[in-house]
Amino acid sequence: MDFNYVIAMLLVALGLYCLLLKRNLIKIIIGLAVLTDGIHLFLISLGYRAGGTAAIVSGEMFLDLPGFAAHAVDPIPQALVLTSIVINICILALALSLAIYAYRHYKTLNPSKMRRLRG
Amino acid sequence: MGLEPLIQNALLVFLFVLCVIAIELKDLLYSVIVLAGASITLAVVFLMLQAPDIAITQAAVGAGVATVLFVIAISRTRRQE
Amino acid sequence: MAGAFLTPLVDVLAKRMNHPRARDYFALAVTVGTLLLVVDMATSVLGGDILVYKLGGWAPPLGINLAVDGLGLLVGLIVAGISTLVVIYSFVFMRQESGLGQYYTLMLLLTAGMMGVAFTGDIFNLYVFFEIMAISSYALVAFRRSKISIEGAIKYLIVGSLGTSFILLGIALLYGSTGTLNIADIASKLAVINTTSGSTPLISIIALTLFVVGFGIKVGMIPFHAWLPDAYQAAPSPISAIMAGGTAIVGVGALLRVSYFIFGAPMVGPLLIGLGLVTMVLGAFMALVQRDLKRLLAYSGISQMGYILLSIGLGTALGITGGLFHMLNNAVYKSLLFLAVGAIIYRVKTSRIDELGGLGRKMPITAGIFLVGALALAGMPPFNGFASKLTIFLAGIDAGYPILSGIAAIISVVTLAYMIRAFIAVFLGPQTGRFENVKEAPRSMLFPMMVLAAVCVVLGVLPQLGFSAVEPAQEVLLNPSSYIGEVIPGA
Repeated sequence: MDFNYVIAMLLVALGLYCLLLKRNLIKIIIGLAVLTDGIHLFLISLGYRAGGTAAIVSGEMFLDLPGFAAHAVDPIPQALVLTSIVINICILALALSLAIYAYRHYKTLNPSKMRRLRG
Repeated sequence: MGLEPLIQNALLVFLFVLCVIAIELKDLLYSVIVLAGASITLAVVFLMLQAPDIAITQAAVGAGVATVLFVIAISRTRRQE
Repeated sequence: MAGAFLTPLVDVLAKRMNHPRARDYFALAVTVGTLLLVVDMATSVLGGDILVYKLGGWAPPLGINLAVDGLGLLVGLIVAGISTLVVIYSFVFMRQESGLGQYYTLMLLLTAGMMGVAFTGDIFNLYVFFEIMAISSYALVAFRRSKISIEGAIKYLIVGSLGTSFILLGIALLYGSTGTLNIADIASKLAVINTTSGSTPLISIIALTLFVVGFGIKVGMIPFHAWLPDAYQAAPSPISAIMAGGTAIVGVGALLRVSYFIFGAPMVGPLLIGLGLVTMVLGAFMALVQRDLKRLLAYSGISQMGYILLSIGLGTALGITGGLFHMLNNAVYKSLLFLAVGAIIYRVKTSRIDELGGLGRKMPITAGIFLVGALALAGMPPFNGFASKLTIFLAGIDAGYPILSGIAAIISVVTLAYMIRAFIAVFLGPQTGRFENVKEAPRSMLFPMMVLAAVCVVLGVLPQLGFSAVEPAQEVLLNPSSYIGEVIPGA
């Protein structure tokens, strides 16, 4: 199970590296996606319980409610991840549209070449 | 200790490798396609972690919508890094 | 009553279907309504109550709840007031732009996000509102779609979403160690963990660092400030005003809520003092060399944030009072100055200091208002900045760090120097031929500025008013257990 956290943190680190060191806007946005994927993996792993069942309301659930509660995985991180996925797709869309505008204005995707704002 | 943890760990490693490739490729279009693959892998991992609804969302949004958006953006800008 | 401050959220959706003429007044009505609601809540919160509203009727810690305490009220009051004035200001300022429907929608969304961050009692809810606020502000910075606004927005977006990712990761770590998302619940459980293990576990230190970096990016603390001047310069002036007076304040409020409630003052204090000191000094010196009015104001805003963090980091009652009072004052005069610069841009179409000159005779009221703002910013009596800066100096001496007070005083002098330089360059001096036909700013732009200037003077002459407004917030920060007890009965 610890391996999940290791990979999640590696993904976060990879996303950070890409975000800070790449010189292309689309690459930077890809890095952002990897970074958030890492966080989502971390959150889902947090809620997982070995041998657990999915926390979804079903008919069987009511037959054995305490047993279900003891075996189900934690649903809260899943709700968080769901919200976060939606938020991040919004940011992604906004970022990409800004990148398109930036390319129209500057004819480049390299953020360090956009230096109208200095001094 | 069945086969499942092994598969899961293998998938995680695969996921990481895909992400590294996506970030290091010079051709942005391939990079985005690899990222979509990574999203699908992540969705499978979510499924194995008993989060089927998240897996569906991740597959639809991460591999579907995001890829379409990226491809549109790349087609309006340039393909090489 | 307490539930009704969700109206902005509902109304934003309703707004999309509005026909063009009505939307200005609609936006105004929504912000005024929000302001009235907050004032209404103020009466009971100032009396020492904490309002708790349970969304969906679930009792905390299970359900999501909104809790209005002194800190939330202070931030909410600032946000509601400034966004109302900015909406009035935008009527004329933004008239020649297209796509105003989006503009007001995003503006209300931004306000809703800020109110949400101020009032929420749930840490994940805080993240969601923070993202709402962030996304709408990215879009507003890019609103003009010109070269510089796109560039400013991209920088803001990349750095800002990095910050919010850090916050989410911090939340994940906290959830992992406590198993709850309610701020009050986390605080009480972490306290239990700390006492049983005898020391602070590494994981909460990492989470704290993530939170400080994440909110620090939003506030514009020095190592993470690079986006801020670009974004403020690129945004339309009313948006710069709402970001300087609202978003930054909300960032401080959220940082304080998370760090003080969850981790407690002894752990956070030294960190805030260090960061605040660096931010204050470097911000002021960078402001000294700026050639663009809006950039200058942006750097001076960073420097003032340094004062606030420094003072609150001291952790004494006087320090926290001074910091919160300065937060209130800073919101008032910083948005005042941005609005005044907006008036100049509206008439003259430039904000570069070396192109401006001799505007004092053409725009006397704007000049007077700018001077009030500048002197208040520099901490001159009888304006509000004097009262709060004096409190900060006294707090520094009181807490046994006279050297901090000394540095803060020196930086005040630097502030005075660059603000006076800017005032002289813009409003005094020889008139250039270009500005022959410049007129005074329109009345609906002057009105919000005058209100803010009046607040500056009133708070300066009667600092007691300001102290009584920040008192409940200071009590809440010093003594979070009352908040915890109020939200979770029996905790």
